[in-house]
Amino acid sequence: MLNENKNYALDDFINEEKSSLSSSQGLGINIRAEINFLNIRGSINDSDFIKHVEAVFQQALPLDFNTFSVGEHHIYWLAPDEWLVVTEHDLKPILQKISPEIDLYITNQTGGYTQLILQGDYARSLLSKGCTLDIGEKKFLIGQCAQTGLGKAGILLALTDSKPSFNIIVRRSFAEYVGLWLKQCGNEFGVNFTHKH
Amino acid sequence: MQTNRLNQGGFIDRHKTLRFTFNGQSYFGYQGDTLASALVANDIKIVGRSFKYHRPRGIIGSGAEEPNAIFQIGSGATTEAGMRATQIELYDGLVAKSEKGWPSLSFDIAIINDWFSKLFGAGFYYKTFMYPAKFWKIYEYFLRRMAGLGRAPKQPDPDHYSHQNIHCDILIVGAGPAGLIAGVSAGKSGAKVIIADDQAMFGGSLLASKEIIGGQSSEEWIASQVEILKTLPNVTCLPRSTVFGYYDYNFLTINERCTNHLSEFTAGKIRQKLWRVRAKRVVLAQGAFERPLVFPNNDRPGIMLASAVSNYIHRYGVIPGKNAVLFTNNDSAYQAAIDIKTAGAQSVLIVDSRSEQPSDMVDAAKKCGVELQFDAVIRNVIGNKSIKAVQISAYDASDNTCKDKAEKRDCDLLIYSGGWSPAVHLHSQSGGKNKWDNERHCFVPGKPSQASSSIGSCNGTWILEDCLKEGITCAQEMVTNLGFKAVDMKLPSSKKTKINPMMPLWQVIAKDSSENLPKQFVDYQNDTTVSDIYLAVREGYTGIEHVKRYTALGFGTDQGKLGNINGMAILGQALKKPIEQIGTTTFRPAYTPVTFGVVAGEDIDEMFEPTRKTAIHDFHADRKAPFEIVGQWLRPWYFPEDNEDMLSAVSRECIAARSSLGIMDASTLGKIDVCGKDAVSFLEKIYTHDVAKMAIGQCAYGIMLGEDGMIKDDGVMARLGENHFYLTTTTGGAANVMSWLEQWLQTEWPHLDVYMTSLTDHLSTIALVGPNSRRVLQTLVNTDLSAEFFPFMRTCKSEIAGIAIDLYRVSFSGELAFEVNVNSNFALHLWNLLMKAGKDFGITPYGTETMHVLRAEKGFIIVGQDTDGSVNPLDAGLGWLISKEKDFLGKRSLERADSLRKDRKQLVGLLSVDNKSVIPEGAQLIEKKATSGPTPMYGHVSSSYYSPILGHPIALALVQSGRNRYGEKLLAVSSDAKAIEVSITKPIFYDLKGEQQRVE
Repeated sequence: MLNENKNYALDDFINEEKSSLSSSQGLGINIRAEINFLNIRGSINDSDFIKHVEAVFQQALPLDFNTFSVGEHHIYWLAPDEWLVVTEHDLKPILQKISPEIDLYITNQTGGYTQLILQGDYARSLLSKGCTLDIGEKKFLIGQCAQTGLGKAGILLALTDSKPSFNIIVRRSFAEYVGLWLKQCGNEFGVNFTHKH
Repeated sequence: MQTNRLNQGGFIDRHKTLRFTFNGQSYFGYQGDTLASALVANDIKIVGRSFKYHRPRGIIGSGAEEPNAIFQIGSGATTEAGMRATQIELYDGLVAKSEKGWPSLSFDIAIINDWFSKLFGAGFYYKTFMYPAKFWKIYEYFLRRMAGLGRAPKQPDPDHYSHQNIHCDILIVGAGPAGLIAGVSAGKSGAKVIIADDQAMFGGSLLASKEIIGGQSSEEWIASQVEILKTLPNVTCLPRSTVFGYYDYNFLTINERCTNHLSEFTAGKIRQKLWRVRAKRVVLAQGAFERPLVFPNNDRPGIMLASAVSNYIHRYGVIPGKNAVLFTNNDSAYQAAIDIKTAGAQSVLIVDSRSEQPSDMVDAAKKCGVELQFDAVIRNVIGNKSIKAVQISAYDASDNTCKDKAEKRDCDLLIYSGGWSPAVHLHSQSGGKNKWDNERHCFVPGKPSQASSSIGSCNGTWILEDCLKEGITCAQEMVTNLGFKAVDMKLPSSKKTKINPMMPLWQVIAKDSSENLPKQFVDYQNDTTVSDIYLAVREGYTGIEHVKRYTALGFGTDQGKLGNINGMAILGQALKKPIEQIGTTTFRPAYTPVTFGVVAGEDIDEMFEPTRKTAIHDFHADRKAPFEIVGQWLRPWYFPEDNEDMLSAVSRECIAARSSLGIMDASTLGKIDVCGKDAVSFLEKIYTHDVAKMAIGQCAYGIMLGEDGMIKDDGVMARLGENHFYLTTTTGGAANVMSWLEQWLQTEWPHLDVYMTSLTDHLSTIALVGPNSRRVLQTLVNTDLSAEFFPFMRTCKSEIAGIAIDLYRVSFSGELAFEVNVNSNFALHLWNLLMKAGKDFGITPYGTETMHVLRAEKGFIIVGQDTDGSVNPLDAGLGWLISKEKDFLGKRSLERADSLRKDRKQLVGLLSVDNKSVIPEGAQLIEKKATSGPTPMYGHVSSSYYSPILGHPIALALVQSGRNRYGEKLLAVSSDAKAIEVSITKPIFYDLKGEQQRVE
């Protein structure tokens, strides 16, 4: 019942049929609405913290900068003491497992982020139009992530497979801008968004 | 009629005829032509009028150096100004107009400037149009009309422009022989290479040459190299792409013209692209510019650079004249004489300022029937609108002067060459210095200041074989350096020509007084002459940068590509100093003009700036609320009902909030979660109040100061746990506050165990405001909201319809009010639930304007409106927030003598004496009685509204010693209203005791 009452950024962009946007030129954009975000803070010098996080999420905490781990969830490294968990799982059972004894600070960010998935041959070229980071095949590898910019918005960018598929995680209030940006700049590569309105 | 078109040769397609118009007249050219080559083919002599003297001018060059053939292309929204005909590829239907010449090119009224040119020396405009000052507007009208720098379209640009970031190992600028072979060499090693050239075809100088390279004709050799580049997936070839800027950290910008060559407008296609390149290494192989020679009337139509003549013949099958004279001081120009004679010119005479010495070029010239005259110079040109003849005099190298006796020679084309200047522009932009080379008589690039190398003729290397060798070596060194394995490259064989050295000849000096000679132009685009440079020296300008500004030498859109070196050398002669002591002026981007469209790229219209919308935005939009932009956020301003105007809507909203129930979307507030063992001691240093004393669940209004003691930001903060806080910031200050806090934490107090996380987007905030807010909210929550359990300035967790919420009993209106924080995904739903629950109490959504009125009635400040970075807490009447018991950022500054001054501006209230006039915000407050001399300004109005609940206007102001002036009357004056008499009051107007917000 609750889910019917949710509304997401980029609602307008979500195709009613499949919530995916594709183009003739091997580029697709998918907007993932039904996912949860958790921000985790703690010290990597505190082994109890690391052990506890890994126990709670049943997954390795990425300690190398600008990488992410994949398991039941995606866990992204954001800073030496900060990670972002992106998960399809219900948060309640996860949060219940967290021990108050451990110096682990967690904030729910589910309403604060939107995730888009950009996929296909031209994904790199399209992103490079507005992203100054080197995301060339040899430089930005599967399993890497980076907090960078797209146009005039900040994004978290991650490469998940060789199609290539990029996860773009953006703050809710900038999601519409990023959606419009991809739509407009995608013209060059034949990206065709279906727009509800 | 294409009278100058040859029957064969050139990279043009004679089967594809293209029609174009020039100054309203129709002409034909061929596919592959530039506009310039088509004009030369049609024997168009005059293409423009000069900048100052309005002298007729013809095409001189064939590339980026062209100073005269500068046109307005197209019309309407797609018109472009300042376009060089030599760089415009011809398309069918092209429309070109000269930018100067009024009423017509052939008769330009302002030619009188030329007749009276004695009056118009350098600095004429500076000196003449100074007085009387108010006449400038009249002078300006006529001067602008005469200057004629082209017109920008008035309509919006319908074209699409694109930006692309790209990283590479090696960027090669220029695809001439050196650049091409460097590209192939680097490309084969596997390095990521970009090779850019401003021409449509790669090949550079080889396109106009008949050299044999490695057994192939130059045309075949170019084609084979380009073929190799195209098969390499790691190489990006960018023709029609000008590298126009070289910035720090090997960041370079390229302007690619994608569809300019197809038509004036290509719907749905990208017209131009801006490549933003970050290169590990840069190879500069841009080539060199041929220098003109300086002699009287050296600007007459029909005078052309030697390299341009070869280009027109070989690349476009166009012969620019039938009877040519070639004036040179070097061997390379001989090629043009040979080319034009071979192409069918009736007579060609080389006038060489040097003495005869055997050389391959001399032999070749003689062999094909070119006449030669040594130890001679051109001393004047006869013919006004086109060249008729030249005067040739013997030249005396011992004293650098020519004999008076002149011999006349008829001709229709004067070809000239003063040697070559390497295109050091990008090297110079990158921070590299240039050094004068006394053997080659040109500036060559000095030590690079970034990871770059200059090769080929832009390094002063003239022999083809040496250029190719430099290309290979440079590429191999770079790739090895970058960790790639260099591929062995065989140096292709090429003809070794014996060349005699050039003779520096900066100016043809006659034995008779040079004052009476016709003008000798140094910079064609700005009409800078030799006598202007001498005048500048006489007037005391000796530095090249000063002379440049006084004479406008090198200021044109060609940036002195032709004139600079001659100008510097002539300045050297005037100052009796060698040229290396004169130095060069600074080269700056852009190398050639770049259209604004491509700079803006896709960041236009709605994409110019991100607009952030709250999760409740759809409600506001449905209610047709006008929006106000606050820190990129769109906030509803007010909610008009039916045909209400703003004032009525705001009045209705204010009364509703004060008398029953209002609801506001406060989601744009900055929200920060702070936790960690040292959260308390961290926040103690940040806020001025006693954070440690706050109970869990308690809220406080807090301010943070800069190190200067001035108010930086404010907002309610709450203690959620022993080591857990929630802070709010102003909407516009959210990002700045976060980075300010992180800066202190990370750089000054890294020992503190504190973690801050932004919640701004995750949480939406709904404010429920008014005497009925508690009653309505209570119907939705189980939490006891009575004052006993949930008093003013408290927070707790709760739930509405299964949705978790955080409740805050805080007030920015002075009314009983609650703020509800909720996961943004549920915010719109919750808002609708609250709207429904409040229906019976006339729940009224209100926007930022009502919020402002309500807070101003209470005298609550807005940071950034009632403060401006020079207001400390004492000024704002917030002294009560300052803890005496602890240290915090800015505290010491509050004890500076200046902070304690008695006459500081303080926050006060203002009432208009007539009780009707709303005082304009920003109005200055002055003495009622006029004083002589400048009127002292005591302060200004920072906030001003009509208060519906009070029925009269109110205002807040910052006034010197304001708190001692209560009751005093002043005048509020501004440029857009009559002076209003105001009286100073306390900065609070409504519910003076604060009973409403604390109501039990």
